[in-house]
Amino acid sequence: MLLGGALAASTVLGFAASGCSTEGDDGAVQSDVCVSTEEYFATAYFKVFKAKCASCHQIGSIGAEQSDFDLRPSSEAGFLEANLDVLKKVASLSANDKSVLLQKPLGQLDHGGGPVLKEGDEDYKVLEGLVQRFQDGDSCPNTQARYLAGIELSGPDETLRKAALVLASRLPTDEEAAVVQKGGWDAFDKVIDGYLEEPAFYSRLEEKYNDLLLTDFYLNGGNFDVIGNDGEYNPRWYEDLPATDANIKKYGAKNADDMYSILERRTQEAVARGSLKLISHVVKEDRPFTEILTAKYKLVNPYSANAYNVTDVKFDNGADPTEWKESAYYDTIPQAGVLTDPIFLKRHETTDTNRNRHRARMVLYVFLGNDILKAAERPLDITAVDLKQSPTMNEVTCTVCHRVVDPIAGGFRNFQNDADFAYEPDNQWFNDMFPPGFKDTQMPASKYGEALPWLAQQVANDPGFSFASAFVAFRVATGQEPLSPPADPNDPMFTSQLNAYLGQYYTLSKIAADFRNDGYNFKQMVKDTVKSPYFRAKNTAPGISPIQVPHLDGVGTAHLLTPEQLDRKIRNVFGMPWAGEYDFFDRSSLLDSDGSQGYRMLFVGSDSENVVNRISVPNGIMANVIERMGNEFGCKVVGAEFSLPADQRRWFKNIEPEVQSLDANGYVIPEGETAIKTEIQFLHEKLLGEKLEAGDPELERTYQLFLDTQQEGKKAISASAEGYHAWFPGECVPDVNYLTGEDLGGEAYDGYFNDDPNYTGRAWSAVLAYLLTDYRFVYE
Amino acid sequence: MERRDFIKLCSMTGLAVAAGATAGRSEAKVQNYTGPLHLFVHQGGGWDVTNICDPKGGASAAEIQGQGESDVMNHYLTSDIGGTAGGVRWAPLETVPDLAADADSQVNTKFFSKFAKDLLVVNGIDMMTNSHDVGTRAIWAGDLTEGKPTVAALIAAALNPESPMAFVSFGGYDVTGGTVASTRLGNIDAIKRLAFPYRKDPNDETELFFSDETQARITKARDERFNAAMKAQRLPRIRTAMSTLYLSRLGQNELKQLVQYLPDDVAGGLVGQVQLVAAAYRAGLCVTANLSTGGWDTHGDDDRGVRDALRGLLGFPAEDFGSGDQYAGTGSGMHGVLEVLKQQSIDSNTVIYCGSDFGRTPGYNMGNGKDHYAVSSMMVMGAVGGKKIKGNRVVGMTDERHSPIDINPDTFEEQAGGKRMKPGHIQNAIRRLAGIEESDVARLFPTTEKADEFANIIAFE
Repeated sequence: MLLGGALAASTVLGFAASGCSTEGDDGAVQSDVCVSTEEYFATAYFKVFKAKCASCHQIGSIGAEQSDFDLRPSSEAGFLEANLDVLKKVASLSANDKSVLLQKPLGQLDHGGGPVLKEGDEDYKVLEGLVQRFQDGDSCPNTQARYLAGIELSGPDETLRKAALVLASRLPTDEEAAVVQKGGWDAFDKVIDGYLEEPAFYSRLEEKYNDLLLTDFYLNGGNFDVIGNDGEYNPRWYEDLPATDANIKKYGAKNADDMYSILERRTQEAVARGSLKLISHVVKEDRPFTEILTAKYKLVNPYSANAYNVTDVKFDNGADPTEWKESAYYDTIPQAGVLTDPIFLKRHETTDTNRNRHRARMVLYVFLGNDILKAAERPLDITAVDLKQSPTMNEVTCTVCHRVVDPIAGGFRNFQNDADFAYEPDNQWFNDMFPPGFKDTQMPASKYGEALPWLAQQVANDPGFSFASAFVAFRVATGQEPLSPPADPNDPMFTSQLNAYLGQYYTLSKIAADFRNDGYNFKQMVKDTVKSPYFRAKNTAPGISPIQVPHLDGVGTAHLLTPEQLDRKIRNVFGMPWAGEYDFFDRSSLLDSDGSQGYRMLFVGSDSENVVNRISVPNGIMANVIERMGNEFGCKVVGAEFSLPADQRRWFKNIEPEVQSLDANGYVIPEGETAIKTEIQFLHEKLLGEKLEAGDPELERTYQLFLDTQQEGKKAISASAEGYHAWFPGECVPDVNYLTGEDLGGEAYDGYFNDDPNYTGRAWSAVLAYLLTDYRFVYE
Repeated sequence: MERRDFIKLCSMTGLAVAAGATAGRSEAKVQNYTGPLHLFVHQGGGWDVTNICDPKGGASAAEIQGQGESDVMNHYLTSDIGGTAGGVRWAPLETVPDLAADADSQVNTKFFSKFAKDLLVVNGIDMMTNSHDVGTRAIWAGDLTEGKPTVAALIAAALNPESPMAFVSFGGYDVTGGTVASTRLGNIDAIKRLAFPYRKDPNDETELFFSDETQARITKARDERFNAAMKAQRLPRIRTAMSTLYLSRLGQNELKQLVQYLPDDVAGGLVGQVQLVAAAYRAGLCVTANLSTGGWDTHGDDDRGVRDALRGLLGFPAEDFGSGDQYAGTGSGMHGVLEVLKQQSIDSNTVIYCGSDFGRTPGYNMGNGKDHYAVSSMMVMGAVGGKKIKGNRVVGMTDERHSPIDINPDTFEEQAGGKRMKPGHIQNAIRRLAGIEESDVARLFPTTEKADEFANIIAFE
């Protein structure tokens, strides 16, 4: 039974009472009927508790401070589980043989907030139902998949292609595809394991964490001396290095100036990306992911080791920027992974009055999945606040946030407003703030000198850390933000929004729980996410009820690739970047943002400084970036490929530019038509993931594009029409083998693809422009 | 329903375009927009309005010279506050003892003494938040809750939804809620290449990757493929993504119009931003734009921080810059913005709103800084169709400690039991001026305050 049918049967809570779900033979998720207590509570939370109780009972509020009924806000990861636990405890308390949960809201038992519900109201009935369920126990388990009923999922073959592109930015090899085709899901994980070892995956992981931490800000020019040039650190260590021939050779430089330029750039990158590299290191080494916060070492490469005056690490190659090693830096400064990284501290600075609260906010947001600023969406009457009496401790409008933020801020007590990031073990904390700690636990005085390692351990142990990590895995896999909870119960779309949200919430909740129970194995969590319906959903079952469709709003991936992703995909799929004229090797038109060539900031880019929210909805400028990419790069692919012998090509291995499908009299050349259509089938399969059978309308459409373009050009050349030439565009043809760098023909130009009298080269360029600009190429 | 309206509706609601919608692609020419240009100048970080347009000074030299934590509101004398007969007043930063030696401290006086006659100042806005993100949303979306679109997006969606750059953003709050796409503008050479994606060299119309015939063929094949895919696809997320890509392509050709108006070089700061926006507007493409500068989060050393941030916001007139300077022909900051609009002959049809996340706390903290405070101001100036917004005018008021004073919503005069102006009221005023308050897209996102309260915040001469 599909959810739409169940909707009509819903009376109390307004959403379907369905439960156990299975994946059918056709890949469609099917569902039976049942509602778990957890699901019942979820709707009750949004319709009753959040609307009627949270204004006084949200943690930090007066009702929460004066009772055991403290609700976590929906901005906090894992809030439903935490609040369900609280409600169970409160409901179990009774007075006069009746649960207090059924009396206080009526204004009974001296409820400080007076009556907020009336007996007999729908909302009150919800409470009665909840208490009854607590007493009776669960009638069925919570099954998040019921929210996904009616979805068509991709099988292992299709999922593999998508996973390869998302995680490794490349197509699966024939061998990998064969393994999964033969072994199905049982073989899937092993192939994915390989993708999770590839550099592209770590680039993606680092990009996603940088979108949160924004530390790549320090890759931008002019920010280099961020860690100071005296005292603890020495970021310009290389200025004392003599430019001897040996050193110039060691660093692969052309001359002394080039050497210093290389050393500056590599040192800047090594320092700026220390946090991101630590995150990658923990995943690469299969350590528990909590180590990104609890690492007691400092991760350095030869360049940052010099900048940080680290001397206890020996590198195999002192010039290799990819060689990262652990330094026992703990003796100098008690390390706490990312939290003690000077760049993290600098990017999220504090002031004398901010008192590390911004850093605490980042800990909450990035590592606990708690966007505390959303708590500030409640209107605040500033004129009713006494600003003189430590309002952050005493005014309810302030404590809603500060009760959560300030103890964590105290975890940074050893690092205050100091440009040199000096570690001060004996710093005094403030008496007009909540004391250092984490949630209900105060930091022991014995830990004041090692406050951040203590805080990091608390954060790592918290369920929120698993949620926050699951959010990142979700972003890595889908490129999308997790859904936010619906805000307005009176919105006509509330029920479908809530169901869409809960389906995703429960899926991520389970993934997070498995992650926690599996020793914080991040790679496994990525695999779990990739195998989830949120990654695999490709359509709905054909007969799905229109009522059900909005409930599936959060399902399926459809995100416009970032410039970094698209650049990697192009490089790996085609073996060369999309670059400027006559350039097949170096610059990327998508990434260069030096003011002359790049489209990065016009196309979904972030500079980690002023533009930090990537545009997810394409505009006309972005559409034309895609258009230009198709035109320029499609032309280059044809020029580069046809300049190589067939056995060396990636594309057009079985066809030459001479092959046409019509003869001079307009009659079909069967073998030519077959060869052209076969190549088009290959291009569709590789570039768009579509296996087209003979006669498929998509195959015929693309073939017609090829044929009409070729015939147009051939006739125009024959008629010496203006603008038509018998040669292929020179700027699209490399003078060397783009794969090996070998000269293609010397001065005789023998090896180049130059003559194009039948216009087939440009017809193929049109086909590539069409495919490269397709939704299925630029979205994942 | 007209096809144009249909696309507008799809754009507004985030709905997927239905299969078959591409039938009349050739008719989908973007209308040349000639209505008013709306500029929203965001001051990131929470500006200190008592050091700008809602001045609160000290009573004596001794009081204002007290450093460290003190009750003095600002380090200048109340008697030194500049002002006009119309009531526009400004903070005399040049009299702050620590700033007096710096010529840039004239920044307020130079701006206000020249432009107060054109300026509407709205003081005492109760922002109801002191969170950066929420305040930024509140001032431009008129609502504290997440996901609400900026009024810039609503205006663009209501007035020219098919334009590829109806809403240009250089930062600030640019959440669009699916109403319209926001566009970033930057390097001129890159924009030229994008305006002519079929030309090998954007300046050479004869050398093309493909003939016009082939371009049309690719477009036709793409449309047919889109229609087929939309018929087969039912998942909302994927349908929406395919639709938005399709919609973004509808205005591709119109980008060409932009090129002829682009300047050879663009300056930095607000001036460079408005140069690009002005070009997009003159090309008939742009309706609204977010301009942005920052540096206002002055938790430490507020006076110098304010002075530095005002360099970016208000700037200085052209005569203050030597020949060869990027601002020599225009001036910097708002001086430059207004000069660019004048030079482009669009100053009589442009409205400018300056706002920020919130204000700063009354008095200084221990670091001579000021913290977050939920009371702010807005500055408005410009004209619509040659009709000038009434300047030399102040609405709203605050007391000596910068608390909002309750006022009569009709007369704006102090009134016990009156009302405070809130972001929702500002939102109503902006929508009303743009003429979109009854539009479909505006109705999708109702405001939080009654439309008839503070209905005359903005008035015309």
